[in-house]
Amino acid sequence: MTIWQRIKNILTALMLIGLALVLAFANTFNFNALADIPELDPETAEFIRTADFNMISYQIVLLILSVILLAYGIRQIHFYFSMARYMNGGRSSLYRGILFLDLALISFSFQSVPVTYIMAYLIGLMAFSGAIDVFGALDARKIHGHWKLKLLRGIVSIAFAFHAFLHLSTPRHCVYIYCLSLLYNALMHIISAFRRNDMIAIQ
Amino acid sequence: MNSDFHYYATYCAAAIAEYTHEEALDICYCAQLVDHCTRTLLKKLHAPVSAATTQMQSELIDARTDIIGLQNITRIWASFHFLPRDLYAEPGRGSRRYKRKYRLICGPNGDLLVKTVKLAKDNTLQAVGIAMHVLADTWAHTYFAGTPSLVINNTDRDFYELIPDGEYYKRRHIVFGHNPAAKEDPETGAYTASVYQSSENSIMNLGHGRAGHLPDYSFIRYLYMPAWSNYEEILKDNPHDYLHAFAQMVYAMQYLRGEIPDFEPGNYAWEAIEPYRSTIENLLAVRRTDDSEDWKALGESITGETIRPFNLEEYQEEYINDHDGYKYDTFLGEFFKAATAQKTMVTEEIAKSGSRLAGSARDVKKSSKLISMEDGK
Repeated sequence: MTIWQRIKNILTALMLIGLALVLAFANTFNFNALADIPELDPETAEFIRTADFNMISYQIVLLILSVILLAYGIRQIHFYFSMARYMNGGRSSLYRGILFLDLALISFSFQSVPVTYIMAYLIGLMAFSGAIDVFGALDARKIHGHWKLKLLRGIVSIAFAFHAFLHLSTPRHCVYIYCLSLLYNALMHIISAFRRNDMIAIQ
Repeated sequence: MNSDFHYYATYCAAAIAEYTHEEALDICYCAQLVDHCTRTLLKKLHAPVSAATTQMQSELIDARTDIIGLQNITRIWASFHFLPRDLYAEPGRGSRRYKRKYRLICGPNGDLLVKTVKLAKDNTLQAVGIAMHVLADTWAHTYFAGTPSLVINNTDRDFYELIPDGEYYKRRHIVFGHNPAAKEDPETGAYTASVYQSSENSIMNLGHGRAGHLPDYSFIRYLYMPAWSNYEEILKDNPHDYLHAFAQMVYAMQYLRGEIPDFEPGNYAWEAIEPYRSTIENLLAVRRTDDSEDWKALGESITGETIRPFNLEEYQEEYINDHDGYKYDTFLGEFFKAATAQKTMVTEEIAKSGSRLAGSARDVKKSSKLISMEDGK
C-alpha cells in the first residue's frame, strides 16, 4: 500500500466517523428547541422550528454516498473506454461502472422517501458489502492471501445489518446500530492504513 | 531471471566470448549487481540515487503511483529489466494512454537492445555486465511491460504449464497462490503471483508480477492470455528463449570485444556455443528453480578457474573509503556511471517516442549527484 493509499484510508475513516456523528447527534438531540434562542432572527428561528433534522442527516448521508458512487462509476466507465476496452476481461470495468452509477442514482432518488425505507436501503447496502467481503475473504483464503481481516469485516457488517434490520420498526435504535457499523468500518480503514503488506518480488 | 543466469551463465557466456577469467567475473558481477542496486543500497554508500537499477520490495510497497512515482518506477524497470521492444509499435486500437503503455512491452531484438549493446562498446566491463543483464531479461520478460499497468500486465485464469510427456506435452492448469512466504514447487505446480488489483497503476501490476516467477524459470513452458493479446493465447517457451539469450550474450560480447564489426539483432553465436550446447540445453530443461550449481560447473570447466560466489559487499568498502576524489573511478563508481548512462539513454528514447511515462533524461540527472561525485565529495 502506498503512502497515498494509506492517507486515503485515513480520510475515508474520518469521513465515516463524521457521518456517524452527524446521524447520531441528529437522532439524539432536539435541535428544534434551538429555535427558542432569543437572539435569533424570526426567519431563522422559524426554519429551525419546522426543520426535520433527522431527515436532513439522512439526506447528507445519502448525498455523500451518491456522490462517491457516482465518482467511482464514472471513473470505471472512463477507464473502460480509454484503456480496459482492449484488455482481456476488461468488460468487468464497464459492468462495475454501470452498477455503481445505478446505485448512485438510487441513493440520490431516496432523498424524499420515508425514513424506514432509507434505513432499509442503507442496511441492505451494508449487508451487500459485508457479503462481498466474506466472498472475497474465502477466495483470498483459497489462494493463501490475506483473508482474516476481510472475513471479520464481512461477518461483522452482516451482523450489524441483521441487527439493524430487526430494529427497523424503531428508527432511532436502527440509526444507532448503523452509526456503530460506520464507526466499525472507520476503525477497519485505520487498521488497513497502518497494516504492513507483503508483495511478490519481481526481478 | 535469477542469479543462476545473470551471474553464472553470464560468466560462461563471457568466457566463451574469450574474456579472461577476471574479466568474466567482473562482467557477471555487474550483471548480477543490477538486481541489487537499490536506492536503499545507494543511500547507504552515499552514492547517487539516480543510479538505482532495481527497487526493493519495501521501496515498491511505499512507492507513489502518481505521475512522478510512476516515472521513477518506469525509468528503473523499463531500462534494466523490461527493455521495450518497439517504442513505435501500433496496437491499432485504444487511446493514446493505452498506446503508450502498449509500446513499453518488453521483447528481444528491438532497437533499444541494439542501442544498449552499442552503449557498452568501448566502455567499461561494468557497462558490459549491465548490457548483458538487460539483454538476457529481454528474453525472460517478453510480453510484460516495466511499468505498472493492469491493461498490459494482467493475467487471468487461463494459465497453463506445458509439461513434457513423451513426445508431447500435457497441460497443467496453474492456480497462483499469493502468499509471498510460500515455497514454490515445480513438481506440484505450486507457484506464487501478485494479487489481482483492479487499479490500473497498482504496483501489483508491475512487470510479470501477475505471472509470478514463471518468466524467471528456465525449464518452464507456459500458455496464457496476456491482457493485451486480444484473447489470443501465447506460448512462452523458456528453454528456447534462455538458449537464445545465452547465444545472443556470447554474440554481443564478441562484438564488444571487437571480434565482430557490428551488432545486429537476430544474430546468435551458435557456432561458438556448439561444444556446450547439449550441456546447456540439458541444464535448462531440469525442473528446478535454481540452476546455479550446473552453470557454475560449466563455467569452471570452460576456464579451469574457480568462480567465487556473488558477494554484494565485495566492492563496497573500496567505494566508501575512497576519500581521494576518485570515487567515480572505483569499481562501483564505474557501475553507477554505466547504470546512469543506460537509464538516461532509455528514458530519452521513451521521451522521444512521445511518451512521458518515464519522464525525461533531465529527471534522471535531477536526482543525480554526479557533479559532486566527480569532485569526489
